[in-house]
Amino acid sequence: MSRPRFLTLLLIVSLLLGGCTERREMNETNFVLGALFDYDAEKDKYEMYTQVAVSEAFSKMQSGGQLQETYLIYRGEADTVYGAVRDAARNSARRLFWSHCDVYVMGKDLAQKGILPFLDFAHRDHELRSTAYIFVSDIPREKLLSIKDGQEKVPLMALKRLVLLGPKRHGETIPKRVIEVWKDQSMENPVYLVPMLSMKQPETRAVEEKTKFEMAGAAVFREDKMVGRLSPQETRGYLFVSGQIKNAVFPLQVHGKKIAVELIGSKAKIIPHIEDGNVAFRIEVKPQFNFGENDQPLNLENQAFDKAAENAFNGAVEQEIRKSIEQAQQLKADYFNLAREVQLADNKLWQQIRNQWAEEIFPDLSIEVMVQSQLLRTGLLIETNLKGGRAEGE
Amino acid sequence: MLKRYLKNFVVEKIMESGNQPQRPKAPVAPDLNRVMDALRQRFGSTGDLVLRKILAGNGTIPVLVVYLENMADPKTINESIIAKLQEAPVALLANSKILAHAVLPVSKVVLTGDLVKAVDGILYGKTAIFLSGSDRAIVAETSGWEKRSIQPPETETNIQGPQEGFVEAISVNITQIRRRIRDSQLRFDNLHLGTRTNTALSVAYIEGLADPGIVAEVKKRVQAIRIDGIQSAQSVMEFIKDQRLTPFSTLLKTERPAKVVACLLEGRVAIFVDGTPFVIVAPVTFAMMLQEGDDYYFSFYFGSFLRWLTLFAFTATLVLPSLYTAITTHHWEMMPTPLALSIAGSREGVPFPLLVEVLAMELTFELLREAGVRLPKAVGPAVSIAGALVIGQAAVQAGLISPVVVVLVAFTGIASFAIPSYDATLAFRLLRFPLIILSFAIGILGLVAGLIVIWAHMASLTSFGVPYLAPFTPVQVKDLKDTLFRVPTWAMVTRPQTIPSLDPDRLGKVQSHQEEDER
Amino acid sequence: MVVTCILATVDVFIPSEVAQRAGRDAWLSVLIAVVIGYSMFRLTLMLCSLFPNHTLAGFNRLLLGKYLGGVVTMIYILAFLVISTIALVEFAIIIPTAFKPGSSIYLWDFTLLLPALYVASLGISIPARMNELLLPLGLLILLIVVVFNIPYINLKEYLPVLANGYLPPLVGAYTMGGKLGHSLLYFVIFPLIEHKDKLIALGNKLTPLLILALWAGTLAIAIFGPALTGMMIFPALEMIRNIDIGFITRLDALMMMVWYMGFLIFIAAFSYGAAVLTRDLFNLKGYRLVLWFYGLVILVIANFRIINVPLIRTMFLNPLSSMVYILALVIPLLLLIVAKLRGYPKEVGES
Repeated sequence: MSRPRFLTLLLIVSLLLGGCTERREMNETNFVLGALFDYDAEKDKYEMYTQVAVSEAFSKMQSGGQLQETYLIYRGEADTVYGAVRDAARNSARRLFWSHCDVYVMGKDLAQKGILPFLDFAHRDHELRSTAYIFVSDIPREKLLSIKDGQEKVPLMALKRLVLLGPKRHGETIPKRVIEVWKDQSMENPVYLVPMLSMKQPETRAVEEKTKFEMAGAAVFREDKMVGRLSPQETRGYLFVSGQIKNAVFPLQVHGKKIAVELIGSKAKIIPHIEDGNVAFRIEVKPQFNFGENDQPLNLENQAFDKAAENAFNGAVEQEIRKSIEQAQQLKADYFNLAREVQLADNKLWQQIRNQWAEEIFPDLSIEVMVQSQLLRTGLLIETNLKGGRAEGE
Repeated sequence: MLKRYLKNFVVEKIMESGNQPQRPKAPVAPDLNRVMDALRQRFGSTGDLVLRKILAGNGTIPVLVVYLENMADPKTINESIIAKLQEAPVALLANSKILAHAVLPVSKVVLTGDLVKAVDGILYGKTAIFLSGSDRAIVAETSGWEKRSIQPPETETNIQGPQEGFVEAISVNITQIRRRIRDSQLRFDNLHLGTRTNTALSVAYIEGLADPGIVAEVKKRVQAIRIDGIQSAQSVMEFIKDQRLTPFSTLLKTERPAKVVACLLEGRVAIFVDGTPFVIVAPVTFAMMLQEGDDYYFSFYFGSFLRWLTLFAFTATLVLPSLYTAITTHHWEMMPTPLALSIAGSREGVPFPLLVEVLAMELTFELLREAGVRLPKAVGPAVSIAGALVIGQAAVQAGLISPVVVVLVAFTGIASFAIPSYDATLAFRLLRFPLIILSFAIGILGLVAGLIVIWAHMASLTSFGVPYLAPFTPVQVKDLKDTLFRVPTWAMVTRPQTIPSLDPDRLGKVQSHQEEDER
Repeated sequence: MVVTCILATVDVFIPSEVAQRAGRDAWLSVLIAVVIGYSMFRLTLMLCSLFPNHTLAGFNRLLLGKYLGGVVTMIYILAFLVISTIALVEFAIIIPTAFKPGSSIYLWDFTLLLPALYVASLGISIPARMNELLLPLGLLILLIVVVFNIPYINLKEYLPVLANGYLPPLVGAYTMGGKLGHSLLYFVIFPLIEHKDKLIALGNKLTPLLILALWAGTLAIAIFGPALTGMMIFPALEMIRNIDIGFITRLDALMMMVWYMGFLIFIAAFSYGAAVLTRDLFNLKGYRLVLWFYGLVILVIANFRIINVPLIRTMFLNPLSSMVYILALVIPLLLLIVAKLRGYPKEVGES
């Protein structure tokens, strides 16, 4: 058979059957860019809110005046998550398209009830991105959707950047993708963290200031339910242990002087010690930091001061880690995943203790924390003084 | 396995092509009046036939000089034929042979006893001389008509290569090749084609380099052509292609002597057709479509870059519009979010489905392109610029077309212009349309299905037994040096392995002087 | 070419199955499975090289006589058809499940079957030649997927080794090895291969490549962990969906392309095999008509009943593997023994 005839055949077949495919025109679609899932305990119904882009606002070819709205909100509710998603279709003249949604916010109520319905739906449906980021929010849902971040045309899109920036700026949040939650959730004794989203009310003094998102702290999940919260500091302690922290600023008190140092990287090692069926852990953290700010006249050529600063920094970091561990043991939530370390170290022992781990062993586990920080650079100044006088070296 | 296939193929084709039927012969009568009658009978009352009867040998022996006005050079006829005949002593007019050899100071003389051959000669601008009492006619080379002078090629321009192009006259074209390959092994086998046009054809190859099987096959296929008139290289190509129905050009037409020389040196065969400035090259692989242009005249780094650029241009011409169609109708998730939104925004208010939009713009572009070629040179650029501006800009402003499609079509168009071989783009320009429809219907799978069918088809093509996609499918690593890359001349050790050749080495062997020529 | 066939199909479903059974030891299963596959390959070649000018149909008749040989050949023809059908069904399931739930299955059947049959109808040399490019392309895409996934790969997921004893990796290997039995194809194409002597060397070279490629498939475990990988239907697809670097996201369609091409070559090869065997069995003139007829048969069987994912997954476990083992190991071994008993290598050498 010659090719032209064959291609024609292929063409005809495809055209005949082409009617059966899902072909969509782009301008008949609503692009969902952020979604909030929540659970209404009174009605016993799942709720869903989406922020949908008004695509005209994203094209450079606008004729006439500025468009008023850059996004729309759709809402749906039903007995199931998927039902709630589809419920919104009754109000949307255009098909809601989920593939570009990078932000899924779980309402606190849903988080406490259990996010498995959402996770399952998000992964089962081929349209949803499993690389999207997931958050737990304690903001009332009406408020959450009305917060506007001036930079993004669709406010919820800002959350992705916000959470990704976190470990690089303050280390008080931990980015988590849906697929990672799904993975964590599939492990033995699943306990994991999801970043916590809250809001920052404007100070009354600043007239122009608007309500903003705040990304700090984390929610602790056991299986698919939220069982507790970590404060920003405790979250940072976790980030130290998992080695995810990149950069943060720490105020320190050294020799009675206030300084601020900038963390510029950290490595962590979890070392299990197993003796006679008794498990203990040592966590070694090796952060590096720079001087960021001095409040008083000070000469940093002074080695003793540097040493003292290192010690002070060690102390600060250790305290954060300890707090985090304490919180974990109190919640009986092994979000450091030390269980896996035991399994890797001694699989036989693990088979024996796996059932007692979460309830009995972990809460009383002895965990030694060792922080060895290292001062790398002092910034562009070597000494700070006032009135031309020379700072006394301490 | 391939070889077996090839063998079968060649055998088949040889069986197909029959023998050339013998043309009826007509003897040359010794009586001049009968000759004149015979010629008048053949030429009828045509106005440009000159039958000049002169008395040679001091007015003793009648001689008939026949030629076509304007086809023959009058100066040569006057000075070298008529004048010499009139002055010639009687002794030298004893028979045609002595006359031809002793009297006529003409470069090329053929004696024939066949009137038909003499007529053929006359039709080529030669002069037939009939000596009274001789049964053989003298056909003297006197052709001389107005020819186009050698000019730079129109369709294959280049920057630093030789600027000469072929012209319509086959003699000039052959000279251009001869001048570049000064090798006694270079052969031109002359043939005539077309029962009415009687067009001159010449099959060129280098003996001892080109595969004799292929040379024989080329000749066989050319001779098997039965047609009344040949007007272009294309019609010859359509007859001698391996697979006659394919839209791809499995033979190459070129306007540049330098390219023909390069091909001959690679062991290929060239076919010159009189009356067209294009020379056919065979066998040809798809990779050759990448090769032309300036890449041999630039630094080899840039030459290689040009190869990849051309490859990209091919891909873009074929695939880009359909890829856009596929992605924007089926696979939005693949696009970055801002781009998706931007495209969606720009499609806002466009009344037609994407398919209509893309097809309409592609057709418009093809129209503009053809209009640009047809229009007089003075108007052409104006129309194409105005057309592009008006149709592009206005259609977008009127909300008929989304701007992305305009960008896309323009890009595809430019890409197709960047392909050095005009012939090669044609198939791709055509195949674009079914691909667009397929991708619209089924998405990227439709596109891939279409591409695979095209690819399989191309892989099944041969050009005189040589696989068309040769260095790529099947992969021949050694040949990649002059296809995907353009390695330095000193590194081009072997001729393309896909082309059967009697002497595979390029460098350092007997014919090394040839290498200086072009590569 | 055989390698492409393997990669295409194996990387689709198998990592999930193997992960379910072998868990963290899937990488060991790969090794064992490749050993099984390689032995099938050598066995097939051994048998084929005794009869360099015959396809399976030919030497079956020589070895087992007209009728028994014919029956054995029929079994192979049926098997080839079944394998192609299953490939088609697999494909027609993957696409609607993972990409386009709303489309008709027939559409996908046609988009795969028509080009495949067309390619096969051009003779086996065409898909073989195309494959010389497709294989590197497929491997390249696989490599890209792996490279883009590097940030998420945690090789510690493979530890501890043999946590649950020796059985799980062996069971996993059994499942996987069945899919590696595609050297069956040599029964048909062997007479057409030009450099028969180089085949073993080529096979030896490709084997490490195959191991690497299959390992790449099991990387899903390193990324998602064994439990989640076992839950997924197409871990390879999840791997590509996991990529999110800058604007490079959601490359599902890329994976779809690779699978498509793999399946296409696969079906082209096996339907060609079935057609050629039929030709040789009944001494027909050409195979093209048979090929298109088989295409129709495959299409009909593929849509014979509503085939769903669970069914296919059960099929993939033991029945199919066992079938391949019988066809690629047991029967060839018997044939080989018969051939040795009849002293075949000598006779062929003389004639």
